[in-house]
Amino acid sequence: MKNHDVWTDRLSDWLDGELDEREHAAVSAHLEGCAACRDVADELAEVRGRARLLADVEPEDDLWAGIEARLGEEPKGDLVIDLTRHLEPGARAAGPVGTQVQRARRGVFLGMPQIAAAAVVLLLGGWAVGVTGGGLPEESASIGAVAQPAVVLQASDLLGDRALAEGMGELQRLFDERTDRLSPEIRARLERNLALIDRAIAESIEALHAEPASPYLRDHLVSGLDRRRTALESAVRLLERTS
Amino acid sequence: MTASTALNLDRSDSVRDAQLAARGDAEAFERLYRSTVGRIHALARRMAGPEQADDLTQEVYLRAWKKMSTFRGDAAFATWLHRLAVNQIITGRAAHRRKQDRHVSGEGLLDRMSGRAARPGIRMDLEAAVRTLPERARDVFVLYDVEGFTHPEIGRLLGISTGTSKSQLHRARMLLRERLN
Repeated sequence: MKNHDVWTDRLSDWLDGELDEREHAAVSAHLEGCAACRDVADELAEVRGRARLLADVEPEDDLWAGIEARLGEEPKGDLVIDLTRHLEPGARAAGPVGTQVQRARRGVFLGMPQIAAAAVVLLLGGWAVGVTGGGLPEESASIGAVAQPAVVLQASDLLGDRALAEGMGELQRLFDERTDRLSPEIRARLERNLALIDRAIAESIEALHAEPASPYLRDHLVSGLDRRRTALESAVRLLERTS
Repeated sequence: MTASTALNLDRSDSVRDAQLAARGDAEAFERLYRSTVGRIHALARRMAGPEQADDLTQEVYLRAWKKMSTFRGDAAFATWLHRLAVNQIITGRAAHRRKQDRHVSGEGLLDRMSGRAARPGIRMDLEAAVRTLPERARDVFVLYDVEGFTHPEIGRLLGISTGTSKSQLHRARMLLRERLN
């Protein structure tokens, strides 16, 4: 079968009309004289045909009651910046990121227990990621003056989403406006933690450049961005409460 | 009434309901839910597995409710919802997996990652066979062969190149061909 691979590898594209005219004709000609490849093509066509006949599947239980009960919920903190937006072309405009960051500015998301929890996280540096190895990245953030860390811009480029950079930038700006309320010690700890997160993001970017199709590495990058978002968001909310 | 007339009426109904839902009308949103949940639930089952399908379906509709104001009516509501659903399912599935990976044994993890839980020689139905595919191949197969997305669209949704989408589709079909026969 090995010597047929050069043909069978192109059979899906042939079936779907994805080959150019010359290649399509070449595969067609081969199939006319090769029963083995013709069988494979027939079986692939059968798989494709059966897929198109798959039926919708209603849930066994009616899910509406559970959905309806949650329609009135305030957006949770983890929705302030939507890290899935890079999967939705053109969905930014006056969209939820700006709106929700504005809500964050008013500090309406969290109740006191959550604020207390966020404070603990801040003070203990609990969001620091488990990065191994030496010192901080050379481009580690100087929080008070940061416009936007290079790694966030690079990640946005890699994910093809300027809205992500805009959203993260807006959150950074809100944070920057409030940093004068921090003690030097806490501020230094924040800087260190954010720099560690940025290092993890930078490593993910580097790995993704080497292996761009890896879903694991992509998840890892998004996870790093999510940590940065969570850190800034928690800090902004805490600082609002202290104003 | 012809099929196309019915389709147009359905579409205008869904656009109107979407406009109402964007203004906070939960009854209109429920009608949208009723008319689309079968397809969304099927998508969630195929991309994330039956054990996560209910939760992810709920998350899709909650996300849609929060984003209704961004639906501009220049595409069918079902199309808009579908794209949002793919994003939400991928994100939700990854979050669920991260939680699971803290608890699942290495063997179980390897099975889920590679799809090697399939036992050769046992004829399977297509739904079951799809669940045994490696995740990326399964995503592309479901989106292309079942849902009708194009390779460039899949590339944008999954963050992969068009060529990778094509090769993963072929890989999925070849594996399914083996497992179904």
